[in-house]
Amino acid sequence: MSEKPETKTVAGETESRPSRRGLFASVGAGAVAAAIVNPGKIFAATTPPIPSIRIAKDITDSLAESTKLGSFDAKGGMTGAEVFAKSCKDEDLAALFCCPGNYQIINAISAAGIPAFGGRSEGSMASAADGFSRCTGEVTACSGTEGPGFTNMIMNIAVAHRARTPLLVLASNVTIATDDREYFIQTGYQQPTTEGLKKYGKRLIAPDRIHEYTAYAFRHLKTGVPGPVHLDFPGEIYNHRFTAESEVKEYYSKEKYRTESRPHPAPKDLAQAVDMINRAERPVIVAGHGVFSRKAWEPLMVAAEKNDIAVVTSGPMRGHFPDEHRLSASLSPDAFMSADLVVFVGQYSMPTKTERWRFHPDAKAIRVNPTGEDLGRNWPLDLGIVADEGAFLEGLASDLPQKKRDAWVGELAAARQKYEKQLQDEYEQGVKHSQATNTLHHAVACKEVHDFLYKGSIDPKLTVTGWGGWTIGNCAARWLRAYRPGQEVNCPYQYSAVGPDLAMMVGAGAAVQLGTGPQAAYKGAPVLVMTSDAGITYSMFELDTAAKYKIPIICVVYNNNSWGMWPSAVGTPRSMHMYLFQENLRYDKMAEGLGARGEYVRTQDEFRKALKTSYEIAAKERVSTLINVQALKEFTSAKDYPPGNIINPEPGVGALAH
Amino acid sequence: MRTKKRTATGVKRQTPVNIVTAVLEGYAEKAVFRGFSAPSQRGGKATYRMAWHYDRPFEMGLDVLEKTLQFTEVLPGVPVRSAMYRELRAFLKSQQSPQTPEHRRVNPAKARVTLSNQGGSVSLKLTVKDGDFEYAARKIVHIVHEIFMVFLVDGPYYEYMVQQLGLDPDRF
Repeated sequence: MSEKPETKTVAGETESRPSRRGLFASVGAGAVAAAIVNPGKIFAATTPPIPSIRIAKDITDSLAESTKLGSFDAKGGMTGAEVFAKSCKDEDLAALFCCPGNYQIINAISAAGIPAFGGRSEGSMASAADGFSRCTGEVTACSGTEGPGFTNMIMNIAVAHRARTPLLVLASNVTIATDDREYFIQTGYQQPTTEGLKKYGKRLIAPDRIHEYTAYAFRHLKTGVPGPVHLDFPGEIYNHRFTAESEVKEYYSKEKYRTESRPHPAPKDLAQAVDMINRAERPVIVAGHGVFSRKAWEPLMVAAEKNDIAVVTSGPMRGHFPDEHRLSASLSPDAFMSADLVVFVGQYSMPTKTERWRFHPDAKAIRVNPTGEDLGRNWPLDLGIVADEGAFLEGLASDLPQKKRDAWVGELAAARQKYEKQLQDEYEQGVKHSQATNTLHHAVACKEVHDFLYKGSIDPKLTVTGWGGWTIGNCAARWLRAYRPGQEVNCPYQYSAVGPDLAMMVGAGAAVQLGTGPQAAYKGAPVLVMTSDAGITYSMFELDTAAKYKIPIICVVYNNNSWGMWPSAVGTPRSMHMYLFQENLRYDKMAEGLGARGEYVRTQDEFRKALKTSYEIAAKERVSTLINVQALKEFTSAKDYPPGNIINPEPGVGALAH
Repeated sequence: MRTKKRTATGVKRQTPVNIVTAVLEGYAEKAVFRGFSAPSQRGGKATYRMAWHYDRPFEMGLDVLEKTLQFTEVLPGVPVRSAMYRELRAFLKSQQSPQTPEHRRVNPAKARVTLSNQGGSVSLKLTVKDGDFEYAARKIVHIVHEIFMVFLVDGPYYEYMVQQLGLDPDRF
């Protein structure tokens, strides 16, 4: 701890190391960066220079290729894969994230002009697709090869399932002809593997029914409560050739095989809801996942403002009601207990009454859900309404009377002030701990990111953020803000997986680069993720993917040399080694090896500078940076470094359980 | 599912025990409690058992003559001379303070709330001052709920919750 490692800056490094700017200047130009090796005299004459990291011309050429949608009139007609890709294109599939394998399907989807991204592991690509969907609300796909590629995605499919992400999971699945023969290679029964992790799944076995099952998939992806759909393609399906449209069964358009019709609230139910809200003194709307996925933020705003209803956001993404709004309760946890009516809208993952959500035992409850089977689960209701979230909120916006609730709004403001003071107190304690240890406390790192993104020269609405990890994720959630739809991705939502954070933000970053859905106004902006040294392990290689596609990410890695659960070994000292890593690992160096920039910081001032530099380079050059924030594991201990780890109140900022 | 006991005339007699029982049954029906047993009662005293926070068993006593309701162990393992116990007392005091919104506050004209600590086991007692047992029953439930949902969550008690209440450490 006593030795202060050298700090890198963009402007320059030690004489023996060239600047990263110099390194990146060569990226894409094909120049040989002989300078990245120390030209030691012994080897200078005989050792060939080490080539620089660069984006191969084959990649840029490939991305510039024109699209090619299959046609029955083409020579040889269309393959099953092309029929499937055309249907996906018709359904506006937003993007595909994959690793090679399931070749015919991914090739056909890419050729069809659907934005496609190839990464380093199937699991991370599934999370990238999940992240893309979380910040856009759109259906996205992931794909892996049969067997190992597919099973690599399992954790990430489970994550998407708990977040109700409309994720289309695609995998090849050998051939029907070789079923049950342990035929080499990668044979497996894949559909049972996702049992409990999907909304719908099917292994296709009849080539001529490929469109029929595509329709099944999109009906489930775009109707009701979203969730992953898993399709397996044996070789007989994707290789089958159709020379005429008549050979494909049930081949009709999406307008015929599914409907955009949505359930509207029964007039009696809507009237009762309006009456209950109007009678309540302190009503709050919990605006869940469904409000975002149905893009219902405008009627939400109108209804809330018309009747002075508090709104708290919840779900795997935030921003569908802006944090800074006077009616936002997302930073006012102390006021939750005052609400006398809670209106859950599109809240798909319901808590129990004693699990974190701090509402009053006497509060009445209305829940609005697009389907009826979940109404009343976990949280007994005074009124359950089957309705599309947008339709219900439009009904409220129309039927609620104008009303002012000054006392309630004042209580929200007071509670926000109290919460912000708590954060400030935690930060000030963190500053002392940081200065005493020459490392960076999590609260200090989070406050710096907060001030940089929302209090400086950057438009506070610009940057999409994500967070994960244990100590840092828990803290970052308290400090990151959402001022517009799709601005904050709650990576560990509900399933609390450690690791998919960076991969998710590669997907979110791709969505921002494309300007998809609510990201249109912020097209091209960098994204930022705060994660842990434990978490980064799982998807760090996707920095290569980010570099390859010029998706600029600032990745803050809180490096406390341990799994966040290390206190679980305190009572059993012989177990402690299993919870710890080598100390002072250099994730920044690893990032450099993957074509990103690396920054190493131990102090508040270093971190502030690193953020500024990284953001500028991300915005101007679309180059990602990993900032390695050196910390101590003991910061999670309330006894040694108060306040230690803090449980976040829910719902609102910091919520991850439901 | 609970069914309410009625008299021969079909009208439930408004005794303090019946009133408190009805209030607590109402909370059970709203899933505030995850489990609830009808009271055992004798001579103006009743004992209620419920499964509640952290799925732990809670016991609340009602003494009609003494006009008290008491949760015998709200929190375990809180040393009497600890900072946590001091903070808990301060939290309870704040529940009776004019700074707390009226709809959350304990009305001093109607009830008085006190803590006691025996060997680290913290009890919460509410004394009814105006005979309003419905208010008393609701208020003592509110206070216990706030202790778990606000006091413990907002304070530096993560490790306490893991060690004393069985919080799964993964569930931060």
